[in-house]
Amino acid sequence: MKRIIYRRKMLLCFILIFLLANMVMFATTYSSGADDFTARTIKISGRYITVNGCLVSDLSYLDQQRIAKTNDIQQKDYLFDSLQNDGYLVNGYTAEKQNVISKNIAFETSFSGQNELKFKYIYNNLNDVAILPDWNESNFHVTEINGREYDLLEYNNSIYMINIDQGIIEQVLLEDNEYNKAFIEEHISQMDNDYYQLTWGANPQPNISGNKFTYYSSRNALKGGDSISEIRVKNLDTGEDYSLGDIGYECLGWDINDNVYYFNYDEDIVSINVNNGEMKTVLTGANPRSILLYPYIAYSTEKNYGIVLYNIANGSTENFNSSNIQAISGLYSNPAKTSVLFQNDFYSLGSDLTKAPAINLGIFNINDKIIRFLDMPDGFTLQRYSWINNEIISLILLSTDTYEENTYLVDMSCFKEIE
Amino acid sequence: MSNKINFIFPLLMICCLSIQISAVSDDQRFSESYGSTALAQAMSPSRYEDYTNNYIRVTGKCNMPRNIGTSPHVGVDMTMSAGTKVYPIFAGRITNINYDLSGQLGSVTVNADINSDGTPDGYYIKYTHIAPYSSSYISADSANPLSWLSINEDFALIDIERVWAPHLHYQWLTATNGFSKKWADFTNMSVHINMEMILILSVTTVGMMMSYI
Repeated sequence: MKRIIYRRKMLLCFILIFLLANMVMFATTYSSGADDFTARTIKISGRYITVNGCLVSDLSYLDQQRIAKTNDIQQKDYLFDSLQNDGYLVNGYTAEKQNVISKNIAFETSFSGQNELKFKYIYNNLNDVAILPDWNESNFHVTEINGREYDLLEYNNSIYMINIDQGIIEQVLLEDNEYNKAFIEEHISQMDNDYYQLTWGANPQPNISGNKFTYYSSRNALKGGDSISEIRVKNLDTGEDYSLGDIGYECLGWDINDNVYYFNYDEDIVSINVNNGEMKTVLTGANPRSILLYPYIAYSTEKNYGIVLYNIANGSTENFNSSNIQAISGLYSNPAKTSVLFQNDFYSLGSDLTKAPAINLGIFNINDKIIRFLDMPDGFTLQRYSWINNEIISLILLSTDTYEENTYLVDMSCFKEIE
Repeated sequence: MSNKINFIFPLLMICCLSIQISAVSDDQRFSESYGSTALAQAMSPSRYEDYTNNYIRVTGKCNMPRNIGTSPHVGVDMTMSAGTKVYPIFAGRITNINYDLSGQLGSVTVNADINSDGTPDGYYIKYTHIAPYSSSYISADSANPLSWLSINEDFALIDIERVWAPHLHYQWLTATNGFSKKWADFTNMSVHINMEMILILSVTTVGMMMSYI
């Protein structure tokens, strides 16, 4: 009898120790950093990405899984259509839920006759549209353009003008004397379609005033020469459309003097004046992750080197570092081009290959030249981050335990300098 | 009698555990599952500036018989223009970089994190015909493990035409320099096994405790 009582006491002790250990584990998992982080931010349940100053719903991780597991295309379409679409208008440090508007727009495509695209959107605080991402793989993309009643729509290897309010999509890259339908039909049959995919227009990059944009095209491959790509300029006021030459693909942006900056095939950053065609090499051997904050180019280089600011006007370089920095990537400037948001993997290098990264976010302020960091909670992977306006950033965190996704609005003041 | 139960019950549980771990039937081993068992939907290696997917044209399928290069084709070819940024289809740890562009065979191999838990899962994705970034923090020093690549972090540009027209080739390998695998069945068995192990070990522990009483 005594032995049985002793065993029961032992069992009770064991259960108590087990429960206590679990409580300690739970407390350490969910309190370290996370409470502190969420207390200083606005949390929105679900995955929302930044579009034109708004937050719009994106396919959640769990929805992606659900759709990926379906072989039936009709079932996939049904799942896409049944997903909840919504958005938030961000005003200062508040987020107000908005109803999503749907609109189908029919239009004449450049090469494949009539087509119709479905758009879902909300309005931002400037009464401009923020379009939800294209989930149904119809592969369109909208680029905002300043000072115009329309945006640029990239779709199926061509570029169009789109005015969602009026429900209009029109061709913007029309045939000209050099490239007309007769010329295209004559030469396209001679091309090996499996070898080259012709791009009439892609990657539109509007200038600051919004009266011109550059774009990538491979239409010059029709001529049969060595060059199979080019950057072209479209003047929206005069209708002019001309080539700047075979430069590259990735554009860093424009300055106020009508110079456009491209990353070329030799890993240099070049500037081209679109009015006179003058090309200058701005930076040789540049990091392709560089961003333009005219008159600066900001980039990170080699490990532990921090942020580098290159002054285009005088050719000087300044390095800015912090003891917390290990490997910087993903640089993004705010709309005012005064601050750079980046991610820092602060113990990635030198660790073992199976180890998870430790990523936090940093902001470098161009004016006070100080790097500040945001304490990130444990138990999450950083899915995405972006500026919403000049002071607020949004970030999406995925729980590595439950795969729950949440979107956070974080004020710049949450970023602290580390001594 | 009690001692026998103390011994037999945990033994039975451990046997159950072993059976659970090795219980993969032949039809599972040989089945092709076109995305039906994916834990996550991969992203496109081509993106717009806001990271949204750019669904580009596939010009060469995996296992496709052909007259040039490897036959059958050991990966997927996608049309991308020279100079376009390349993004990973899953986040992961970079395990190998080939900076030699002479044969248009510059490449980056990533040990992919296919279930987004922040750690690599042993699915090696190799991206070829690219110019890996040489001036970024990505280190080619084999003594130093290479960096973590986030899902929205570009790591290379599509190389210019040296042998073939510019395009992206990517394939799934068993290891950094391992054999290519067909693009199918991205099931992460370990996740399910781990859950079963936890469940069964819990039952075992309770069983041992019960038998002790």
